[in-house]
Amino acid sequence: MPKISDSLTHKNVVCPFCSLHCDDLEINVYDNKLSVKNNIPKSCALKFEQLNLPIFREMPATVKGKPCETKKAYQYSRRLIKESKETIFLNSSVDVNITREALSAASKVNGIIDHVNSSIFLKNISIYQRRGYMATSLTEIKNKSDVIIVFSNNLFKTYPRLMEKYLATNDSFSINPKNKKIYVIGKQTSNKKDCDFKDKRITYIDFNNKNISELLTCLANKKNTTSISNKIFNMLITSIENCKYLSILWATSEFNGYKECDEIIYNISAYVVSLNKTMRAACLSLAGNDGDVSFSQTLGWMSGFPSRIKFTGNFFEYDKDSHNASHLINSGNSDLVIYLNSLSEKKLILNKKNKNIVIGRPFTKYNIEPDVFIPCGIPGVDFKGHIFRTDNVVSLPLSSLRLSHSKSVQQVLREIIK
Amino acid sequence: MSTLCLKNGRVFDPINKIFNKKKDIYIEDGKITEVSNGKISETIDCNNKIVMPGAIDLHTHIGGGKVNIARLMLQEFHNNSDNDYDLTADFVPSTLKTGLQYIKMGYTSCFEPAVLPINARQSHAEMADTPFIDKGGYALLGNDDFLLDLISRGAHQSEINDYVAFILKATQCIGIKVVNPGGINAFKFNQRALNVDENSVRYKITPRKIVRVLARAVYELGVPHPLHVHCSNLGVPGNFKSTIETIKAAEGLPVHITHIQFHSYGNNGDRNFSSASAEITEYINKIPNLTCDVGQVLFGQTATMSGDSMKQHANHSHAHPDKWLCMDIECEAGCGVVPFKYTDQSFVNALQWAIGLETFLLTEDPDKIFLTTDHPNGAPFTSYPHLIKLLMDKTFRDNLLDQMSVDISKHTILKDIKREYTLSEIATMTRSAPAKILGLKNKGSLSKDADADITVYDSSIKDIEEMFANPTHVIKDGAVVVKDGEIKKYTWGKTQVVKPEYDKAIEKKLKKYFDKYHTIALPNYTISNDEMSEVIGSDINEVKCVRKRIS
Amino acid sequence: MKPLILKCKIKGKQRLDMSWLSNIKASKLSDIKNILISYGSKQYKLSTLFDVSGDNFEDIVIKNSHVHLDNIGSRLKDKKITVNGNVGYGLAKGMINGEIIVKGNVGKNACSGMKGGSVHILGNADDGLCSLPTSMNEGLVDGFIYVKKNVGDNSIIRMRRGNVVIGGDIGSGSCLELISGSVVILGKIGKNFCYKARRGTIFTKDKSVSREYIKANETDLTFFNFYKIKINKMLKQNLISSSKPLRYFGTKSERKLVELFVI
Repeated sequence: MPKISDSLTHKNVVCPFCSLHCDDLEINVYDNKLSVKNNIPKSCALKFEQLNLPIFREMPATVKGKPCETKKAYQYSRRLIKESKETIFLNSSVDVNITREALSAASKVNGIIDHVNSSIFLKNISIYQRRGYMATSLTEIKNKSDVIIVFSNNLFKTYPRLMEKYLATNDSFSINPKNKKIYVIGKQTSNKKDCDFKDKRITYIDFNNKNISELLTCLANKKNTTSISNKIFNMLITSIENCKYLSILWATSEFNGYKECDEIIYNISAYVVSLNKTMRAACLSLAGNDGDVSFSQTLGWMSGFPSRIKFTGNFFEYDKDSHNASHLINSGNSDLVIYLNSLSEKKLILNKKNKNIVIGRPFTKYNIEPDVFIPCGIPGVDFKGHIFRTDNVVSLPLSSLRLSHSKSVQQVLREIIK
Repeated sequence: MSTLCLKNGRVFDPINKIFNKKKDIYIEDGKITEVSNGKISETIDCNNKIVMPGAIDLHTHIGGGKVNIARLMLQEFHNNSDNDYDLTADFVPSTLKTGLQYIKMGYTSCFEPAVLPINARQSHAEMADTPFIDKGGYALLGNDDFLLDLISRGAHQSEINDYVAFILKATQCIGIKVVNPGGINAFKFNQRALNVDENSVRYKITPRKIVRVLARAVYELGVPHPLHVHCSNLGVPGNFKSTIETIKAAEGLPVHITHIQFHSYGNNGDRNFSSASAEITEYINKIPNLTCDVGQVLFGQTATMSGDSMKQHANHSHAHPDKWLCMDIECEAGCGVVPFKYTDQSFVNALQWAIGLETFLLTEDPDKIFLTTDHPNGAPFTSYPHLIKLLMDKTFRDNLLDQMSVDISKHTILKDIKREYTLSEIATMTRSAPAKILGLKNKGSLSKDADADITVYDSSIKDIEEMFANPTHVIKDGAVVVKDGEIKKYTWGKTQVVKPEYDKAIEKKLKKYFDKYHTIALPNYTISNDEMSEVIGSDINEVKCVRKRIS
Repeated sequence: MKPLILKCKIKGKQRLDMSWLSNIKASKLSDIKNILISYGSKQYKLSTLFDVSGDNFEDIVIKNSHVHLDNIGSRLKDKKITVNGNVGYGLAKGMINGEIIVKGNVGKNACSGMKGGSVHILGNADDGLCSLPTSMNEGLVDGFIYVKKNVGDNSIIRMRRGNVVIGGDIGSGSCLELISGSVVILGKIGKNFCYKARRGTIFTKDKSVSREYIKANETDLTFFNFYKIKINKMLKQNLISSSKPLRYFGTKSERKLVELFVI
């Protein structure tokens, strides 16, 4: 066990905070303070370094907004769970082991288990539940893909290092990386603002991503009726025709607001499948940053379903409508919601109608004070863990970098549900 | 010290050449002892009962990315109406159901045959969540760019041995499997077929070379389980030739040919599809050092899953229901999941059924052939008792053949085969033989100090299928976990691994490759022993390797 | 013989899964009263949640029903279920045969993946009527559905066979990728109607769906009359009375082989 006063540099640290889980970080720990040594985007480094603030380290548990001893918070939570008629475990950012524990906790109190991004990743899964699907993974894209198409409006904000570390790389095993062609298709205002990465191989195409289906039909028929200029359109066509391995990337979360969302992702997939009759192409749908993949995979092997399960005595049942946590919360069907938020900085939207317990990383943001807040350590910083990368097949170990002041989500869940 | 005694059972223990002999078995501390030293605390009366070691399934897809994809893909088969402990479909069961079903059938050790090195962490996590059984995995090699590059540059065998040993250590596996040698990789460069002596476009090496190099590496490292080979041309009519060529490629080194049923097809007859089981089994009987498992097909809905994305993509038009997924994975291999329904109305499916049975019955030595359905590719593992009945009862299988919707009697010699498997042969092929081939000295045997994994069947049950489906007692590590079909106690098995020694210089080379081309770092690729027990949640048990040399 | 009457006395706000209703196998009323159902985090005897009476267990009447009762008649095989009041999600989900009458409104995703039988809804139906069930590719496989009032958005997705009659309006995105079967809509039709439809027959009063129509010719009329009689017979009332329908006139590629009649 290292002492607090030791200065230790951890190499190859896996970043738990976005679904790319880059693992080339070098982090120095001195006096339990973290500092990132290598050159990564500021926004990424900040996620580690802000954890050094005293407010993050000495965060007390609260009951009804008032700081109190952790024991008292446990006691009060146990009472709430005992009194509750129906409990929802809403995972808002978790790793594999937290999901395992949450499932076991839900089975003990006959609760419902769901994830905040369920509606999005269920859409991704529905592609191969209903049609054919050709998928790929990041190393494959880095080494084999000579033409890459990314549909995204804010690529650099959601996935800060995707371009630099995985797409526009200078080393490729099977192709000449200089001949790579990368097309970023979407609204470019945000992409240009957040981008501090310049590369000649990247072409930005301004396009309304609502019309992707139309663009794909045009590409298939080689006739341009879209808003894209003929010059760029023809460039796209020739790149696709001459390429060895085409990859198409998108983030379903960006399309979620569109009415055409399902149609878009089905059409991209169908386009890729049809290309595979004569050449090689594959798609990669980028997952959300809240441990979506870890959650759906873990629930998948433990229950056969990706999300939205309710335990009823000896067995469980899946129902995508009846156990949809956001529906249930909005219509006041449940009286207790337990939020598990170990990684994300996003603001939690709590509902006044029911009691709320938040087991979360220090300084979790929320719109209203929860009934109980119990701070917990972050997997990958305070605790060991196991998390899936965005491409569904690569899972990485999370290490514990420093001595933790608080307990892990698993320990807290075991404490409040016995 | 408490002792458990199984009294008066008819014991089948092929390793000690005990067949159908009345004998008492004593268990202390999870191990078998010869005579009890302490007091006998519990006696199970095994009069009229058959006592065998716990069964071993050496090829069953129970954990890993593609199994999970199939679970999520085929949700409509997870039955919502039965009030049972778990509602997942038999052919894509959840980890909990996998463990429960296996232990209820008397299986105590199961091995996942396709652990992608990059996906090993997930495979082990899934297997760690599978209760009761001991497990292990075979790491997939033979399509990864690093190895193919080594071979194509003419690297020395010792370097390849080091790499193979490193992979075994890094992925916590017990063996090496090669799937469609070089073919999955070639598919990524748009090759749609690769024969045993055909060069791949990118690396200019043949599947024959890959099999030879890997078989030698596995042999020289002293890994007990020989190279586990999924041959080229899966499911293609006429592929028996490439199967025989693949066997020849090993040049006498031990190899295990897996789901050989899918690789024993001829292309004779008016439908260009025929049985080549005679040719294949002739070879199996003749060649020493060769073992195989069958991958029997049984009728019904199932899901096929394989690392062989090349062949799965070619077969996707047969998907039932109409959906499928193929994936290229991390410059290592691929995966393909295609749901499939075998029906006896289809000539091809019916003949596949017959070819599997022919292979079982024509192979003389039960030490060389293992009972599998390649779960779930041929059928779910829950149909093993039915399969055993087919092997042990000629009238039963002849009746089924007669009742089939298509007439295949002219295309199969099944009716002419008189052989019926005996209980001793079943015990050998499901217990001692797989233990031997995996190097598990403490499994599949009732000798002194062996692990007390024991299954007790009720021999008064006339129907052999029912008898094998419902053991009266299943003992795992000395604890009675199943009694009369009910779970008495939950236990968690261990993961069996091998860790042959190697020259650490290969790690430097790999580190360079990883830093430059891969997207994760080498230390995060390897799974440490601590991670296995602390994070993934399964303790390991190391099986010894003894290095050998080919002169 | 009196029908089995279940009078709901639930006051809590938790949702109740009613899929057990389809599997009642008991022969005595006391057995039925003792069926354990899970409600919220606990399990209750049926008699604590419902007042139970009657002796014909093949004919079930639910009284005082409200929107928290989900999955009524899911995978129903043979029974008749009558509901007085509103119901929640997943009515008649994956129903195989039998009859369901709802005298009230129904919640989302009713009749998804239905394979046979008939459903009469005398109120409104929420979004996703006949939508795709989990991991499957066909919304309505077969069966007859009658909705007296309005239907929400994204309804009737990838319908394979069967007949749907809607007395009121239908929301946007309906009849997506229609494969076959017939749909009658007497009210207004929302946006994106029949997108990517392949085949099937549609009867509507809303002329806004298409720009051009012609008078139906004799072949069309025979076809039309056949359906008219069939549907009126099923409904036991003269819902379709027109004898001079207009037929949609368009190129095949535009709307492929969908037969559209304005009645």
